[in-house]
Amino acid sequence: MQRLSRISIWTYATLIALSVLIFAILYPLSSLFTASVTSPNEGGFSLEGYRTFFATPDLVDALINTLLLGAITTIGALILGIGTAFAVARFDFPLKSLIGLLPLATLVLPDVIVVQSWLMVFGNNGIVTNFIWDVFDINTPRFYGWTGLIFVMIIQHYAFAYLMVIAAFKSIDSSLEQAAQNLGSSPLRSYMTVTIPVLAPAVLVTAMVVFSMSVDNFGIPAIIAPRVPILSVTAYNTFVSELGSDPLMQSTMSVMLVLIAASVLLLQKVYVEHRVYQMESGRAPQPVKLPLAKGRMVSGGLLCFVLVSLLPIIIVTVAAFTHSKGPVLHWGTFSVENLRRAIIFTPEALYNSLILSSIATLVGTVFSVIASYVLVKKRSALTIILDFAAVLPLVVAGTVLGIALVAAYNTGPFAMTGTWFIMAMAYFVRRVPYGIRTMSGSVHAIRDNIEEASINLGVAPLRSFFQVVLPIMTPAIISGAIFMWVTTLSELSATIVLYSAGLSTMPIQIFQQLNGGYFGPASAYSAILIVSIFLPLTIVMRVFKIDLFGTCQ
Amino acid sequence: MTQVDFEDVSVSFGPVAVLENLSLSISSGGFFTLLGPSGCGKSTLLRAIAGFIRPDSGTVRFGTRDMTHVVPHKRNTGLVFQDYALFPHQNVFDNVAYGLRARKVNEADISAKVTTYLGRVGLSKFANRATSELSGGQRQRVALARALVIEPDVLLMDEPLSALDANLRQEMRLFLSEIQREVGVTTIFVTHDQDEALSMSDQIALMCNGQIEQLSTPHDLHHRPRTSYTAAFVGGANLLAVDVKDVQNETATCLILGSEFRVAANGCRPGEPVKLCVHHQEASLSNAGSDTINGTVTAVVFLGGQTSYQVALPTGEHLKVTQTTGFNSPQFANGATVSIDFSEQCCLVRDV
Repeated sequence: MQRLSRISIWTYATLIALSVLIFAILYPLSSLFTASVTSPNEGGFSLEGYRTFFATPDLVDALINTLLLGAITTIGALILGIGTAFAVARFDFPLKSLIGLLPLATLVLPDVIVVQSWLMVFGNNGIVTNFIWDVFDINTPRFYGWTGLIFVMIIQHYAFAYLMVIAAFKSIDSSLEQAAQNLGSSPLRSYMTVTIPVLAPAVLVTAMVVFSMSVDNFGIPAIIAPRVPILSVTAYNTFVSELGSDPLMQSTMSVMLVLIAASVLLLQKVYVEHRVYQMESGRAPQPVKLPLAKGRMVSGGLLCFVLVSLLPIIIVTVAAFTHSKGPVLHWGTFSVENLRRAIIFTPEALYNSLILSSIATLVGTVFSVIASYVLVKKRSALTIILDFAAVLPLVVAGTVLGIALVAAYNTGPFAMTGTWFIMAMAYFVRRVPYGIRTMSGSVHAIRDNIEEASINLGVAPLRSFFQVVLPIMTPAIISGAIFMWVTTLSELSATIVLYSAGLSTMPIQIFQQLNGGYFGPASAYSAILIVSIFLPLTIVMRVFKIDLFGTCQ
Repeated sequence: MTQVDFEDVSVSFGPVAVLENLSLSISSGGFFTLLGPSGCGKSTLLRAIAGFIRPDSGTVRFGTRDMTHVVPHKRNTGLVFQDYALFPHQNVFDNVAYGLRARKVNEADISAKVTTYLGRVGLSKFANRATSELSGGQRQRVALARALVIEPDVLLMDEPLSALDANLRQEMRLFLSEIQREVGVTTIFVTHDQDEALSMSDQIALMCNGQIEQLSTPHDLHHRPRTSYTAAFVGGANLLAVDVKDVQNETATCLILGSEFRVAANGCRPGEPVKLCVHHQEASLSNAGSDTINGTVTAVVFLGGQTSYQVALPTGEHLKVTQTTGFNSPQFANGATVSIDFSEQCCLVRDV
């Protein structure tokens, strides 16, 4: 009896994990929420902030724009993602495996780089803009504003939709469509009455995730549409201009952003997620081999599209070595000046990016391993709270998290605004949900009796964890860690709020150079960032033979 | 009531020939089983009937209609899948109604028919359940109702019992044969389980490497296997080396270890390579004598009403014998020397 009631080491681990999340997200977020419903003058409960919000036309516009942008991005990304996924899952055509893999590269491409390169193509001094002006003497419509915003947002988010939908396409059991045909439905009718309804919930989940991602995005609207009010950008602007004076509006706007994302997530959890059908056996339909001409057409079309989405890599690499003056790039020239300046003038940006990402990844990995293990194997009342706290970062946009952390830890015993610690903590907490999701999948697959077998053979429980559970989890741990590392390297939205002198990162440098119109140096930073993302990624995937995105879902 | 005919049907997957020039006639209204080990081509044959596989050559006929090039959804065959393939987004009623809706039957008739067939499979109360809320046996019944409600020309079942546990499988065997007799539809059933085949079928085609090894009634398949392959696969029979002295009126006289026996010739002639097929119940053991075939008991397994022995013969062959055991029946201990007698019901089989 005494042995059973003893508090296990996992209870302590759960408690520590929970305390970390309380410190890093629950407390800052709840103080933000409290601030938004507190009267700035009397200090009591008041809805003044929300009244002001809905009475200010610019802010209402920002809210409407944000929702509109989210909806348009989601629809566009879904159309492109589903189309590509359908072709790859159901047909055989030349170069299919390459075309199926390329969209994954856009997943790790930082959004600042994507915006930047498209500005260099279609922007005021863009390659295409200048070409059309020189040859046809026509002024192209302005790319800055809604046009560019929608274009870049869709291009940036389609790969994610593709990845999620293709998994659903591959999991559908081929015998379902055959059963429909056997019962007298034509192939088209079988598709409409069976395949599409069965896939619908998975597509809806994808739509909701893409929607929250696009609502949270800061870098793309901030750079390409500075005059279009978008909530994430407006919140940041308010923060910059009113720092310390009136926290009411920034907290109100932040809470509005959290509420949008949270209600989408809630909707997904309550209405959609459990409707995603579990297939009895995943024998996916055999891809149909297309006739040669048709196959080449599909292959060519898809390849063009996928390569266009990868164009940023090429453009910034070339631009990094091109002689430039302000926003004007002298294409065709060669210069190492941009790179020299990037490396010599601000070597600390690269250094900070690498160090902070590494710290956040290391802590995040250890945390995710422990959390995913206790969440799956050691369920208790405590882990239910931990589970909730660990998905919370998903609904908190980067700018909002930054604002919350500054508000919570600007003064008092834990004052740490402007330190590397608060930045690393923000990175850590933003990536933890992804780490846990990747790793808990592999913990689910570990049957309890494997651990019991180890204990039964005389190895103590904790040692059994290290000797049996951890090795089985290794591939998921590595892929989770890589994912955290590369996405943290591209992090802009929380950084822009949190960084201070001497702590700037690569994405901050790119953002600032772009805002100043210095496309040459911006490209140099982008090229360095791309190398520091793809080089370790390729090496690790080769060495560990890890199907990174297969396990990321 | 539809007869199904295959004429010279060949199917290959890439370089692998799965069916080669196979001809087969399946008579109407019966319960017909395709039996064989995995990879023998039985599922391919079934899917060729449903139309999911197009033969490279040959003809598939339903009655007088040539179905070879008819698309699957115009064939009117009800297929019960191995994993049931119930539509996860529809409840039980809608699953069963699916084929009727595809045939544009009006909703009142659909409702009546679905209700009738759900009643037939004993699931009247489950019409509004989600398929995920059903047990394995219940899903099986929904799949069956869904296939039967369209009143198919042929009912096809692809190892439908393999996903069920042993007790339920026994129960479903009876249920399936009963409902098949009631409906009277030509039924083609695929299985690798010889007990299932023997207990349910009117006719069995035993398949091996894309060929029909033997087509006969369950009784003949078990008692008169034509080849050693059939004897081993269906009954797990003992196959002993034997010298045939002479065949007269379908009775063969043969020699084992110097003793003479009479057994059924089963179409075999002297001089052919043959084996003696002895089912476990067709040999009997008694206390060793001087003028008989003697062997040594090497294993004894008591099974309650029966006892199973393994006996080593002087030829080096091993014989499995099952004796019915009552309270006072003689028991032979491990290591005992026993005399073996073969029943006249044993038969010769061609050795392949």
